[in-house]
Amino acid sequence: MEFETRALKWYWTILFVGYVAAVGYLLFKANPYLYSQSTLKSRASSFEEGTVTPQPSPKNQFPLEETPTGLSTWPYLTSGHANIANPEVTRGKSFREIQVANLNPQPPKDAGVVGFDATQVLMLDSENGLASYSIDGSLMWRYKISKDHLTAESPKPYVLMDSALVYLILSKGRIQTIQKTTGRPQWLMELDTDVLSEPWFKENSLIVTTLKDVSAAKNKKTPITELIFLDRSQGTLQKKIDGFENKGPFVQVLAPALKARIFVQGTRVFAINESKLNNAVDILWTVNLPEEAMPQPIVYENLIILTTQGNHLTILDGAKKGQTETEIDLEAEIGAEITPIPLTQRLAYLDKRGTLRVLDYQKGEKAWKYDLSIRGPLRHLWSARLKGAFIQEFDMKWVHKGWTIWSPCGSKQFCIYNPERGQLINRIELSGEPMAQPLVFDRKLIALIKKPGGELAISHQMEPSEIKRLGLSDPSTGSSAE
Amino acid sequence: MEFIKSNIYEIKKSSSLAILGVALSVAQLFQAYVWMTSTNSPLVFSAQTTSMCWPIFSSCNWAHWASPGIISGIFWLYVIATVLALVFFLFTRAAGVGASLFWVSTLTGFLLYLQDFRLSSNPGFFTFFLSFLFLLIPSKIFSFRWIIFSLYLSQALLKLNSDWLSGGWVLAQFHVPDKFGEWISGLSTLIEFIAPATLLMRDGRYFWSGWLTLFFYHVLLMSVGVHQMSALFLGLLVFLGFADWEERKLEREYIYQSFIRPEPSRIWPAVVLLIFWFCQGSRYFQIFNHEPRLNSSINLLVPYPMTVMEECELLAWKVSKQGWEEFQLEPNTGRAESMVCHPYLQFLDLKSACELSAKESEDFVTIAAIFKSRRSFDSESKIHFQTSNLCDPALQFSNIGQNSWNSKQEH
Repeated sequence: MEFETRALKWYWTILFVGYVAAVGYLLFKANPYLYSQSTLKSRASSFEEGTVTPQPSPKNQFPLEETPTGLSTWPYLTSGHANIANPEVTRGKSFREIQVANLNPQPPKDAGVVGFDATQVLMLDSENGLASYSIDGSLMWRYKISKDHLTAESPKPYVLMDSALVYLILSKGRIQTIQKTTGRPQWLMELDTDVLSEPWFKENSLIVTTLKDVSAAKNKKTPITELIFLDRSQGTLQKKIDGFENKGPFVQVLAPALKARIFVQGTRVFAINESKLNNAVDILWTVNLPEEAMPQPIVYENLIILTTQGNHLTILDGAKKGQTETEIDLEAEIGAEITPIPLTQRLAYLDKRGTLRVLDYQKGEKAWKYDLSIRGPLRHLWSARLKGAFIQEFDMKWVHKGWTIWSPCGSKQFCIYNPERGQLINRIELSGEPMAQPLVFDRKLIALIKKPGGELAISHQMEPSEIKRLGLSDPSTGSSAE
Repeated sequence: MEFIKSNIYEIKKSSSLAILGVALSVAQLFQAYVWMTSTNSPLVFSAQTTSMCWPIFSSCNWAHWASPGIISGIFWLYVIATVLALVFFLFTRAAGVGASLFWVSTLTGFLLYLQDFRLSSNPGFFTFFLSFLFLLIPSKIFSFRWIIFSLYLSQALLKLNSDWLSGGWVLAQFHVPDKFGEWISGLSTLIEFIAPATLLMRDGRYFWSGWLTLFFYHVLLMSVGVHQMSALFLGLLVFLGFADWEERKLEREYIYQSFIRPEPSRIWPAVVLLIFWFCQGSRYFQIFNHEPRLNSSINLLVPYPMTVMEECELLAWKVSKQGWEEFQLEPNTGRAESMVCHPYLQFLDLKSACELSAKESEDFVTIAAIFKSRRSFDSESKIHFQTSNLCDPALQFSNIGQNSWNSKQEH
């Protein structure tokens, strides 16, 4: 039997002390900050992710059938948000509905149109996410967004489209691109910071505006925006440049004639040099309005057309550093953006009740108004040219070159009006109420309509001459003969 | 068989080993309770037809030899055997019967534990590891002193990194300044290194000082939510206390005067400890990182770290005939915090989601997923896997690197 002693042998004591010393050494080696003021945790924050990368990485992404280019300007017809059809094309006044294709399956009642081009209609609803229907009404694909990014509290997503991709910009800077034809995700980029306004395209880049320094407001400094350039095809980060002072929500619109991009931020309107935007934000001029401007400015040639909260119309001349050209009091609140009618010095808009109101911006006064008894929700209108024969027939001024106002009217119609006197030129019959700005092509219209039974459908309207040229059957719709 | 009998004899003749049997039975019951109440349970996984292999197995279809009913039966056999073993160890002198019942309990519990890698956890590892050592290793009192010391040391070694020593875990439990969190983390590491060493000493002053330090340490850990591990180690401390007291009563002379059962050999504890320490050392110095299969085997005997300062993100989509749908996995209750970002476990969870989604919808095609993580002290995320067809039966974690996101698929 081993006799126990209570005291440790001296060699065990030395071993134990050595062991404790080794433990102390290892501890300080693993945390060299243990005795200093700084913490190991602060070192972790210095290892922030150096660069954001798209998922999946470019070499792993699905192949694209074509390079993403261009931009779908819908719900406008031009990049300046002015609903002006192709000025090179003159049209007939009659259209026949050659096809009505129900969306199949029907989208939920809360679905809204977020994109519309010659190949497909994009609908977004809170339950199913994004759905793409082809122009013949059949469902092409669905992309269901995670509920975390589509809650009632999250900001409404921005949806952009180009020739190859659909861009979904969600909360916290989550940008998901989806192939237009297949519905497969192309790339996902997470910026982890909120996007401040609708992004836009410039050449092969998608430009996203975020806040550069989130803590600036806490430090009582005016926060600065940051413009992040992402490659459209692959989502890779191209560069970041400092933006402008962020004094609140803003919108932007391209002004091609001015080679500038116009920003509207509360009462502040400023122009940025578009050609220099790749390298730096060069502010050309800034104007402060007496009251806050409503979202969506319209740009027509050099003119920047704004409506303000006090129901005033203000027109700035972008070529004269934003000098105010005209101010008009509006009688009624606008239902949708004002549309310039080229060459007529007229502006037209529908108010919320469906009254068509036309202004003469050169004289700064109202021209005429007419209650169109619009039953549907659409308040967008556009301007397009009629053929010379109709200028003569309806006694319009040749100098106006046939520019007319095209507007929803009644319950299931589009109507064409002479901007000079408000004379009705023709009606275009539809099978249902128009629900969104139609696509306006040279010889046809494609509109999303709601039929009397409540079904959403796509109405294809074509000029009789085009129907004949294409050899299609000409259904009788009861529209006025030419 | 003689080997097992001699081990049972050793347990029968020592009241402190009966206490150890009680402690380990309580640990087994705790494990059974966790399996009953969480979704991370063999009862849940047995209902899924997809096998979730341990990394050391190339395939594991054998894991589903039993139907869910049989697995449930085995589970209840496990519970009953453990309860009976506890009763026999605690209230009767028939510790031999208790040991036999404990054999049944350990074997059935381990069979359940092996069924699915998602059941892997530190408490489970310690419980079954110690149970097998209790049943198989001779010279138990001597060996358990060293084994318990080794377990503490392995845990302490895992804390010698920035994840633990930055104090993140402490700050998550207590609202204290960052620096204080760092010091508490350092102090706990010191306790786990030094106090267990005193358990090896015969001098009662050092032994009981270390014992009390560890006792209050585990009581504190238990109060902040580390229940299962603290309960296990408190039980082991109680055993060590009894063992020390028993030795002092000079019972060894009585026990080992038997010619049929001579004094147990101490070679086996040394072998076990050597293997255990080899595994800890290999992991700490990352010796076999380039050998994935060997590394997986070694990691079977290495506990998971208590906390990892890591962010991970899973981007997942369910692909159906109509299109793609973003989705998130339901969080798995019962999984240790340090295992939340384990890539293999995420892969297994997704494989499981494949099966459930196929049952829910006829339109379902596959799951696409990208999983990445970033340690707090790394500047870049690491992508562990990305695939647009995770539900492919041929796709296993071992060959997932060969499968890229844009592999030709019929979506």
